[in-house]
Amino acid sequence: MKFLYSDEPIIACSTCNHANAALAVLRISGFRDLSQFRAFFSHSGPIEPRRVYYTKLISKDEVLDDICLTYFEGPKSYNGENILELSIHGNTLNTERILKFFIEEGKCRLANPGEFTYRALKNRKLTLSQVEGLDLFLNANSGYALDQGLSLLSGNLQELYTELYDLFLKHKSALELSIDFIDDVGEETAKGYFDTSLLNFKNKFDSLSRRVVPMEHNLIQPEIVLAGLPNSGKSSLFNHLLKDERAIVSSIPGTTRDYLSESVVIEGVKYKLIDTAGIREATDLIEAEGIKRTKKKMLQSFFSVLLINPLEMREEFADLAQLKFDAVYFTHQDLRGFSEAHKKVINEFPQFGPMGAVDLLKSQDKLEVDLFSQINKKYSDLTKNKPILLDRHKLLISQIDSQLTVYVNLATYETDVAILSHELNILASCLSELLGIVSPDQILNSIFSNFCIGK
Amino acid sequence: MNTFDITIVGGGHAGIEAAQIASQFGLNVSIITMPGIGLGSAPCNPSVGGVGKGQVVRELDALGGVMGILADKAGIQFRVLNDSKGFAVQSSRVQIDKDLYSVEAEKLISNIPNITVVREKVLEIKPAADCFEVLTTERSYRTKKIIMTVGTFLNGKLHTGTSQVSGGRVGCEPSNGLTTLFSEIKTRPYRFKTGTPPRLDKNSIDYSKLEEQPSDPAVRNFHCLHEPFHRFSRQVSCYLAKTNPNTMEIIRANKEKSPMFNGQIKGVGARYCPSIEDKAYRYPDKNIHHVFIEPEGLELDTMYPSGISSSLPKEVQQDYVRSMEGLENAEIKVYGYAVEYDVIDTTDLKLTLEHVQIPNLYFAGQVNGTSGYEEAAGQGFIAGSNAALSLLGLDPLILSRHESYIGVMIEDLTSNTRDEPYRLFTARSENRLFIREDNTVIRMYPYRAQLLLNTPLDSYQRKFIESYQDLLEFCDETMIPETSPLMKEFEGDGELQQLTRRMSVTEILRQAWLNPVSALERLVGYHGLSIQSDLGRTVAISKKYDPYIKRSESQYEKLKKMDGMRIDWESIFASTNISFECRQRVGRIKPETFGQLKLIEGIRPATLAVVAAKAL
Repeated sequence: MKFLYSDEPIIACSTCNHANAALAVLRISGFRDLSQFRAFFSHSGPIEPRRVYYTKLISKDEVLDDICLTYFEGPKSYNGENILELSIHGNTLNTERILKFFIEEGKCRLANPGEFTYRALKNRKLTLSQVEGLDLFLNANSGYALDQGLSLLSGNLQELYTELYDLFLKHKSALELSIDFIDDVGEETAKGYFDTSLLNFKNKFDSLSRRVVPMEHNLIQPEIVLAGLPNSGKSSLFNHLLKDERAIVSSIPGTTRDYLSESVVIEGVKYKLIDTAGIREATDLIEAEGIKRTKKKMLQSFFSVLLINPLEMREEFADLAQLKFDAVYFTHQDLRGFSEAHKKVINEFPQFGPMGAVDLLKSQDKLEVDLFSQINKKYSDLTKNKPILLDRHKLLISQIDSQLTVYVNLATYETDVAILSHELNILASCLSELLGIVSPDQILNSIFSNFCIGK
Repeated sequence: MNTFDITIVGGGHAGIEAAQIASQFGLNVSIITMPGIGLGSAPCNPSVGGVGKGQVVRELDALGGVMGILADKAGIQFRVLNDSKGFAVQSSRVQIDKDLYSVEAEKLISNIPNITVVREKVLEIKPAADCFEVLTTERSYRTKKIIMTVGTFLNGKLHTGTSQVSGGRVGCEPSNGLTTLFSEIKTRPYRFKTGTPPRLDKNSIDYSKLEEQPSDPAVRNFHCLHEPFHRFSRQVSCYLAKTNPNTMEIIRANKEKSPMFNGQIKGVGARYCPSIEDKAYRYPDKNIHHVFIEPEGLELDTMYPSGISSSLPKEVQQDYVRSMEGLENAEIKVYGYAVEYDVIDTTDLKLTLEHVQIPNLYFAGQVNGTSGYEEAAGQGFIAGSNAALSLLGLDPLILSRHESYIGVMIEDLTSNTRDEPYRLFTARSENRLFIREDNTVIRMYPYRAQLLLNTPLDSYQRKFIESYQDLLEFCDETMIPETSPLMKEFEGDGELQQLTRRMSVTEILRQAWLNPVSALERLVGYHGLSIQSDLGRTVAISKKYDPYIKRSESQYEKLKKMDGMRIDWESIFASTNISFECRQRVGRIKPETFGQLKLIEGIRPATLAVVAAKAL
């Protein structure tokens, strides 16, 4: 509860403060009025909202920095509170010193993570969906996630949710209309409203629920997993893709004990590239743990690549053949006996072929082109139908889906309306979690704005 | 100088309920009412009950109110609304003989020795030491408690076309404004508006062209101690007429003559009770509206056309009435009018309906911005009991919104400032499956018992509760084998409607295709038992809805847990982050829990719930 109403002024650095930069932006939010800060600024004229002022920041006659300040007066601000935005010089030490200055002057405390936005939620400047959209927007790893974040924040998805909500209210109103106002409208009209409004809601919802694809792959932070038996060349490929010597490459099997991960950008999408521990029946305890994690990683991954060295025919191939990979490559093409060994493996495990054989030393660039285009194709295919990314939304939409099925099976106009309305209330609670609340007043409002009622 | 314990200003539906229940406690009660108006008069529609309201009348009856008794005695047409829609939303409504209703009310009140009826106009009310001094046109009175049930009389103004007169209703002078009566009340009153239709001459209507709605003999009386199906008066019919494009055209053509649309009336009317002008201007595409033609009494020669209230000039009213089929030759006996009046801000009231700023002063009824006789009566009862309980030093009577429509109404009123007249709908309750007409005794019994009045009503309820428990047990414990011939009777036609295993009576009652009431009657009869029909009804319907109610309750419990979380309203009030208006409400209502905060208008419950869930 303390967090809920601890509404004293807060301060934080809104830009990244991990490296020196030309500028840093500090925000102070939730103060009563500007006067308490006036002594810190050399600018002595009036400070009007939404205007930028160039001024010196002063601590007891000592100039701390040359800054630009902008005042956003609540409630017309990002989170509804009074906000002061300071553009300061972006040396990390300078930023730390100024933050410390404001806190020690007793004017504010350091904000908790997300607190500015939390206050926007509290002051109803943003809905929960919008907050989630903002989070997605700020932390997106791909153009698609970026788009969906923005779409939740202010665009189509938010609009779609609102439309869905309105259609729900219309149907709920139609049901209430048939109870409280039947004398005014008559049974025939009420039944008409009831049927049409249910159909409209269902159609709109179906178009939304089609966008919930049961995807094991996390599209918000997509991962590419490189898997294979020890010494199959995973780390070499990993390093090549990163053009870096991050993984320890050696010819002793089992060198990559756990897994390594790095970011790689393909066609504007940021992936996490993961080099796993080699899959084999390990005797080493640490390695055994690494292998367990590898299998788990693989199942959760967006794209999985298996590398096979056909020259080391192993019993683990049978295990691997049980798993599903997006791409399989045969390595060590440069070694003698590769062709026969390759054929032999394919014969025994047709699941692995036919796939390209690669010489890791000579044709890595070709492999890269091939692999990246496959990854990109999978990403475009999966995002083509605009899937919903956020787990909470996906979960709620499928809950609504199943409750709607229960309701639709029950919902003929002749059913006991009180029971119908009971089922509809359960639907409402899922819906309101997705987009806001359905209160009796809102339903009555909807009745009055859409229907003609009278004594 | 006359001295009273409790004085009720206004003898309408709220006033008589307040006076009657207060008198039960043996206190010295007075009603001061405008001269020339009978007690319990019905200036608008001639009916009692209706969807949601029928439940209120039965709740009142179980608590010991008088509305049900009076409505039964004056009832001339009985109906159950939503008959085909499931038990939870069924409501009784009775057309009353207005004159008879008022005569019965006068009789009932005059038979109570400790109620004095004073027919004088109140001029001013002044707080004195430990009491109020009430100054009327004739003399002054002292009283410990005052209940204001003044209806639409505060600063009342009547409108018909361009004509404006002061008055509380047609033919009656208004009372002074609230601030003149009480100089201590600083809060500015709100201005509401309501309207009433023209009354038609009974003998000028061609009933053969209208659809007849006869009285339904199967509707139970409101009062539990009356024989359920006995009728005290001769029964008559209502009739259904309809507007047509021509009717609406006449009204649309005269828009500038309507005081409501030319700016003459400033008060806010209810959207659910629009005048015919509202309907014509707001819904230009709709031309056919229902108009129920209701008798105002057996001896009265007027009919009340429900659905066409209007403040248009007289000649326009005449024109549009006569444009309807069956009303071609209708004569108007009293023209329709709109009335504007002062209402108080009900967020200044406690749940007992006592004023926050002026102790011992209570408000109930239309002055609180509600519409409807039933809503008024419900509040009157709550104010009257609480005034009495407070004088006797007993716990206040506060009905939970989870158990009664009266509770829903009072909580809604005291937690929100309304921007239009308030009427009860079943949609206002979160617990509609439980707040039914059939189980009123079960819901109200603990509240009635709290009043410690030992009357025949109390013994009836004690007996009812005992038998209720017995019958519930019978349902749970009596098993019917699948081989019993009874089971065949209960099977439906569908594939899934076969009863192929041993079942308890309770389980049988829950089968979706069965009418639980008749099924229980049959089962009880089969076992050679006989029970009161109202008891069987309560048990059967309760059994049917039980699983649903339990599910709602578990959701409610979750919410309640959250609602019980204590919050610090002072820090919210002092916060710079909350809008000025919102802070003012918080400051006035002083919510102590999350639940109370949630009820304040303008704060979205879902957002709060999310916020709270995150904070936990």
